[in-house]
Amino acid sequence: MADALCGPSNALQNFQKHAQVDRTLQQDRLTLRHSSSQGFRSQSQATGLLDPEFEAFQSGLPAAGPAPVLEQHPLQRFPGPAHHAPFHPAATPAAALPDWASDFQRLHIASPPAVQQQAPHIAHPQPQSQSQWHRDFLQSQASMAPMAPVQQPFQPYMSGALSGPSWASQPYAAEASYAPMVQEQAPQAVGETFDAVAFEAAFEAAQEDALAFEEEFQAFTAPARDTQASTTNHLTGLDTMEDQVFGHDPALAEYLDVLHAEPAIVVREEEQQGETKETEKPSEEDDLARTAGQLLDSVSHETNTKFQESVFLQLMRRIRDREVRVEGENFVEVGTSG
Amino acid sequence: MLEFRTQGFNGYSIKYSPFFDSRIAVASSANFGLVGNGRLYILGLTANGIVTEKWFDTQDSLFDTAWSESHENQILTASGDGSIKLFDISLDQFPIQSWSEHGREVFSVHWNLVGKDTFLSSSWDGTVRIWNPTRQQSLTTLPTHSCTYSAQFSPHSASLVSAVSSDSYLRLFDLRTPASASNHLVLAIPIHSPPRASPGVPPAAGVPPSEALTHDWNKYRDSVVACAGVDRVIRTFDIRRGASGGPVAVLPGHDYAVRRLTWSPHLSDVLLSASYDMTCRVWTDGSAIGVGNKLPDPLAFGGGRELGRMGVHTEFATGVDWCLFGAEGWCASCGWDERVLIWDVRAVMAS
Repeated sequence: MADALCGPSNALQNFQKHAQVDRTLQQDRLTLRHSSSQGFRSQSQATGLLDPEFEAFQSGLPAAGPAPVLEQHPLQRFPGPAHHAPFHPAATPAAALPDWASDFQRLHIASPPAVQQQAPHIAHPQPQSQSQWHRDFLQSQASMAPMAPVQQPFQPYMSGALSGPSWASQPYAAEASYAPMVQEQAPQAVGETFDAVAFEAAFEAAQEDALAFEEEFQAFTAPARDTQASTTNHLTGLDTMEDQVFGHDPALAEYLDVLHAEPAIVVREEEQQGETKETEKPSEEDDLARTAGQLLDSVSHETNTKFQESVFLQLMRRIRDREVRVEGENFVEVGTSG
Repeated sequence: MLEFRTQGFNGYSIKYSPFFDSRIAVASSANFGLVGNGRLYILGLTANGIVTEKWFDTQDSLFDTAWSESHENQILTASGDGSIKLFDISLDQFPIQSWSEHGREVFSVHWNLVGKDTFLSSSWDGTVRIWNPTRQQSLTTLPTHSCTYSAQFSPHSASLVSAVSSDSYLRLFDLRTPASASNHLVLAIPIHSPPRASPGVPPAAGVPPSEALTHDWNKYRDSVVACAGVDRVIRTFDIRRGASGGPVAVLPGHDYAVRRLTWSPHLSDVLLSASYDMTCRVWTDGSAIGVGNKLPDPLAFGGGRELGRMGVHTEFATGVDWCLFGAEGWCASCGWDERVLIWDVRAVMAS
């Protein structure tokens, strides 16, 4: 063999061995494993984003800037540092440190501001683009001077749900109708309004998140469902089996050619008849019946009584004549099941 | 001849326990394995005939089974849903381990007879996988790129794996070779290759490739493998001849495809086969000294011939296995007629 271990000394031999190693199977396994971790929604957005910041921190340089995706994610655990710096002057002693580190130090108060970030986005419905986000925040900040405690949002959430009955099912439509009401209330109870709006925003975002997760989950489970569908029965096996049993019948080859031409005719006829014919699972049943027919034709010359009395061949006969069909995990008689 | 009915389930494979002479496992499937459940029977041979010691129902058809060589109560099944399950027959109901890496139906499982710590599986997804029962993932994947109906460890070497597949090749993998682009493949013998021409023998006509369904290593001659399949002919190969050496013996006779093949554990030249023609037949490959070549078939080659046949099965015969214990010649067969038969090969040879 080419990859014999012994032989004349050659400087490139070891290198060649490394280059020739087939890692495809290992990679297969790794990619297979990767798919199982798709279900974790937090992983998809957060993982790669902080890497550059962390690298910058390690090399002692200030971070190049906030990652843009982060600000779109209201429940993000690690909000971009640039937007936080103005609102938390208490944290300025750490300003000498790189952004990443100071952000890390503020981590214990990171969650409530993350909710607040979305508030202006709703209080001022006009600016939709995310680029104007922190200007909006600066504008609205003046009116929201008193910071609300974290526990309060629950109460306004209840009142919001009561005032708008369609709110839960149609978040976007409700948002428009809800916003003016908020602005009315704003002079009376600023803190409460802010909380209601903030909470709604957070809820909406969470709902979007949940939708995204559901989509992802469906995408993840779809292939699994496909394979399930393909393996619940082994009717395709019948085709193979027919080859196995009777594959070398010389007359059969000719017959097969005829048969392979036949389905096209059948399909055309069906088209001509229009769509009156109920086509539940026509292809699979037709295939099965056809295969059964081929199998029977290939033993039609058989004079052995065992073949004539065979239960299996009898079943094939009934499948061919459409007296029996597959339903779920069983063969059922067509007459009784209908 | 002893008989047992696997009521409602059509037999696919039968295996004697390597530890007890009175225990047999049968892998079976409802509805001829086309749709529905599977059932693994553990049968005991008693003075009162064959009794069911235990059975395990599975979600999907079972196509093969293999006893553990290292634990007398453990047994593997190959399932239609691509999973391999390890059952402990001292427990009830559930498998103790299940592996599902194969993408299609698993068609054979085989325990390493020398190493005893690994087993393999082969599948329609075109791979043979090597497993360790204590590990969750397979150890190695050997691609064959075509439906692999049968794969085995050599009974003489812990690292030699053979496989036959629907592309009509007998492949030989040596797990000791370094991992490389060849994926441990060391030899691929075309099963349909004609016998080598020799003086005094007219050159054999070529045959088209056909699906190989079964093969088995000779238990005494460590380089001899027998293969059979859709073209109804049993062939033996000597792997020392290489890929172009051609078969050593050609044994025609079955009327339809040969589904299962097994060499005798007692005699180096005797084979047993089960076929879709509803018979089980005993053969000699002509290698034993003193076996006369009485009725040479014009298509036969190498001096082998049929010694006898058992035609009691009334549907396709799918599984045969020799009993390792007691008098030589006892064997068990199963078929789609829902019957397990235990019989003495010498009885059918006499007739």
